[in-house]
Amino acid sequence: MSEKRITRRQLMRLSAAAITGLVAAACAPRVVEKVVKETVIVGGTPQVVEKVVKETVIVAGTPQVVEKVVKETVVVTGKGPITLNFFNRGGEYIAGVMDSEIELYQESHPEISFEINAVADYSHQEALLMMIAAGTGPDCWFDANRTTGMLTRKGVTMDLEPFLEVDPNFNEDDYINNCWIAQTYDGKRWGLPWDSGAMCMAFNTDLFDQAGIDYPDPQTWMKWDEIVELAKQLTFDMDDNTPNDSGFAPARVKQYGLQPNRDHGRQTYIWANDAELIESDGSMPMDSDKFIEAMNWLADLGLKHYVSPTPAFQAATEMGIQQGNIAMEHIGVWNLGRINAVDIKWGTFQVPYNTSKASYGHYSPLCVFSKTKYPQEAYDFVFFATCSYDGEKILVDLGMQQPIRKDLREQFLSNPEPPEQKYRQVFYDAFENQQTFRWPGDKVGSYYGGWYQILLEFWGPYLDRLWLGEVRWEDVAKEVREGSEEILRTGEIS
Amino acid sequence: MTRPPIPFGRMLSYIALIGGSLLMLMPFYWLISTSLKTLKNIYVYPVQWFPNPIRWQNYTELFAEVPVLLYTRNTLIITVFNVIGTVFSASLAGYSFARLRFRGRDLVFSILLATVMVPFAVTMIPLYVMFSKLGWVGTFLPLIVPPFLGAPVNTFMLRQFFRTIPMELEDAARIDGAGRPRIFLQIMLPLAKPALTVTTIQSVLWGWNSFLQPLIYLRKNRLWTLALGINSLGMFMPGVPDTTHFQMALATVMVLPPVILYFMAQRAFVQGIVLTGLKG
Amino acid sequence: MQASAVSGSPPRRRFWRRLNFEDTFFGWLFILPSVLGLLLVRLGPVFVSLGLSFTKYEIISSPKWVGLANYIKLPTDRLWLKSISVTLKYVVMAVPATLVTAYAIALVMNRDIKGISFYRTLWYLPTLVPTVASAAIWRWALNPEFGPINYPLKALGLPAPRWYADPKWAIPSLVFMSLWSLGNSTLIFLAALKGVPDVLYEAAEVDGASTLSKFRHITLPMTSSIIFYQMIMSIIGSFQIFAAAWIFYGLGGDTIGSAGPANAGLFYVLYLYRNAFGYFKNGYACAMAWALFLAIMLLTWLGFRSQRAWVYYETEGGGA
Repeated sequence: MSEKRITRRQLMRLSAAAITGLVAAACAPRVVEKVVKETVIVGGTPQVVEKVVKETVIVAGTPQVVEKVVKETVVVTGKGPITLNFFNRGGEYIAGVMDSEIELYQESHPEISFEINAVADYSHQEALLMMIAAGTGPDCWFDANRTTGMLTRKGVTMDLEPFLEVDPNFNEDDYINNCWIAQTYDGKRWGLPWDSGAMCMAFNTDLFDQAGIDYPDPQTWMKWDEIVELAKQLTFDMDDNTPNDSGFAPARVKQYGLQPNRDHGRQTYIWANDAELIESDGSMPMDSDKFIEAMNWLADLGLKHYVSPTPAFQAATEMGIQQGNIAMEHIGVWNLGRINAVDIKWGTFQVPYNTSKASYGHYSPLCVFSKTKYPQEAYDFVFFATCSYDGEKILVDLGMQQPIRKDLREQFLSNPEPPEQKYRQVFYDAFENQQTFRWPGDKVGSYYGGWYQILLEFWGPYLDRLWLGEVRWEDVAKEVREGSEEILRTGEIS
Repeated sequence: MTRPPIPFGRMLSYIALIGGSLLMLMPFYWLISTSLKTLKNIYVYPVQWFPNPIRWQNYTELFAEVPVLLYTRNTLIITVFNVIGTVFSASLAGYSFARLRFRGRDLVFSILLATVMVPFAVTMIPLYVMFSKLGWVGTFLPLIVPPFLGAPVNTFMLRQFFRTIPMELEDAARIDGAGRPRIFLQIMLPLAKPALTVTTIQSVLWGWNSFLQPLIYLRKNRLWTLALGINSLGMFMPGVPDTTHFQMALATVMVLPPVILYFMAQRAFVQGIVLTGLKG
Repeated sequence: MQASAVSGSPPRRRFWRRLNFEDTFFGWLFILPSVLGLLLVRLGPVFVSLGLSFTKYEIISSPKWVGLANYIKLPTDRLWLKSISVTLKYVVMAVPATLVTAYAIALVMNRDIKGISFYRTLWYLPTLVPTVASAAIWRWALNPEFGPINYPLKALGLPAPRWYADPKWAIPSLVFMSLWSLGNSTLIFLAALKGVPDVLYEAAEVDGASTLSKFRHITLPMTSSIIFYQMIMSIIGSFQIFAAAWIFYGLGGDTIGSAGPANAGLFYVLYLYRNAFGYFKNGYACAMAWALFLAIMLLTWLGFRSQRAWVYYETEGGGA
């Protein structure tokens, strides 16, 4: 596979000049098709032939298009009109978004048609694997940050570095720092970020007003102790007692002060206490004192301070800032649309820290199948949908995403929907601050070492017991460390 | 005044029935009331027992934004074929396994039943590969053809029913010179009406509510069923607005046809008694 | 070939031979669709999965033969053992609970009470609610503080469990949930009760039999073939429970990757599914599937063996 790709790249470069010549020669747009057929017969290697087809077609457009053509001549391969098989996870909404991206893409690439497969489910991996098993794997698909690493380790995704390297449309400086992390394995990119962005704390201004408390400052980083005290004043049981009152009933809470993210955001608290998840040597010191302290602090928010919902006491079913029963919630930018859907006034600030400031965020990618027949076309579309100005603008207009392109940042910040601009800036402060931004696996160059989904399933039962108060982290830390390191080494959960 | 007092046993029955009905009604009530709430009120805590305000727009907006009729049509296609296929193949095979004596009968039955014991998770891939090679993925065929080729669970059930029908009825017909097909159609099928009703109801439900199979094979939005639509509306996806209120509205819409159908199917049970009573 | 056998037989036994031929011909004709289905659709995947259980199969690449390695690994897999204990616990609780409850409800539903078809419809409702919508309903219904189940319990001063959030209550919660959607089992029992010929009861009444003895000597034996069917299917189904656990613990949010508190909901098929699709260990998953298959097969066989002792049939022959 890799051999083939190298040959192709050489061919691209070799033929670049020739194609430019051909493009110039093919000034009469309607003659194009004839030329195509001839070259197909003559061409020994289909790659060269295909390029001619594509470029001439586009030349038939306006002068502006010609400029694009010159750029794309280097990278384009494909067989005349081709069909890309795109596999989409997510429901109807996502399908609609993808449709509009495809429609726009086809305006400039009329020779590409799309066959879309869509599953309406949380877990897309089995559907993807079945398609591959049947020999009908999609050319590109919408993946999740949980699964990309693993699919990469198993050879399902394609290394996109060679494509990015020669893509004249791609300029590293156009994009915000760190946006590639969740698709990084072995220091390379195996997908391009499609949604969502940074994580930070969100607070419901109404609940602050009701309690008569000043809003947190978006620029100030709160310490752990401070936020616990603040959260206590924002936690109420059914009789309006706070955890500071003697009659407080922890099992009858109607509003909680604080909801830390115990899922994708959990690591932030570990770094915020100067603990480490994955060291550069691949060890996972999950039994260090600092680590234990951070985990127990998270558990104590619910068990000791009663300011966070925990399965041990939680009464209400759905808890969250948009449900109106959480005053401060650790969210991702992906919650933005949901919060705004219920008309809540809200603001943001950075995730609190203990000894070191830490911030985090991630995107879920579009990936290219390693065995696709049309690697370049698939890459081109994926790049368009994720990294081009026009493609990404669709997502930004929908308010779906924190744009990775710097030239779309202003549009995100000045969006009239809540939160206000100064709060929206918090997402960028979290993502772009090289001093505070961390990601799991950054020291080994692979997001969660490539095993996020398996690690989640391994940690789940231990975390459940921790949140329930059945164990303290030190009771299980050694076991978790050993199991996690085993997974990182072998990918085996046991 | 002169009416005799209700017997104690009967009164107990009523109390149990009414109390139980309330319990059983609960999930359904919750479904409907949630479908009429504003998005915000769905999450109000403590729970809002009665929607206030009632938001009928959930339904109008649902029909405007989601292709409900298309989904209904797709679901209907799958359901109708399922019912016909299941009743056809299961009643024939059930009768044959129960009442006819021939070599290999019990072996085939055992194998048929054994295939039900293999967890679906491991047959999913080979089946998918097979249907994919046939070019059936992305069509209704993988969902509507197999029922015609046997429905092991329903076959087993009907076999059990057929085995309890008194032998004398069949013997008498046989002495009159009736062949097996006639006995099956004119004697056994009418006698098994309650069981056939159950089979029908179950295959209606299977077709109407099935989720995993359509999820696997119907990869095009235009082929989606109501169940897939509901799942799509209830998903938490990054960047996607919350549509729980639409989800509940669609679920309510989806529940109504089977409820009506089930209510009407009750008659078959009443008739069932009459027939078996007369002939038995 | 059957025809020649018939023509060559002595005239006196002809009637029986003919009957036999008729049974054989129509017997096979009637099961022809099922046999075709077996050969074309059902058996293939089953044998493929058996074959794969002796391989390392990552789906994205071709299977590699590993002999019995997958089976040998099973007993050393801590989570496999855990999933067995979780599943067994569920089976032991759910099978008798659902059978008895469904039968009892069917008895009530069989009574000739005014408006009974209305009640029957009501009692069937929970079964009609689509699975995908029921997750939210159940999380609300089993809410530890204000759910409609715990609220009265608390008001009466009774212990109110934390249901699915408590590892000890996770399995009982799922059993409880399954009691709600008993519509189909009840329906089948009801059909069986309707199939009991009235003449039997009339004759018993003439003999002055009590309600209890009518139940014991008529209703139970006459419906035993369906009780047997329900028992077998309930065992098969409970061992393969998947959807319920998936609904409660498998979905989104804070519980990503969770199989219930402390893996309390890590059912056999859920773990199998994770291996097959999450961990790229399809060969291993197939070995798990066949281990489960053998266990269910054995239980079913024992069930069929026990029939003679308690199941009443009109037709002879033990069957299967």
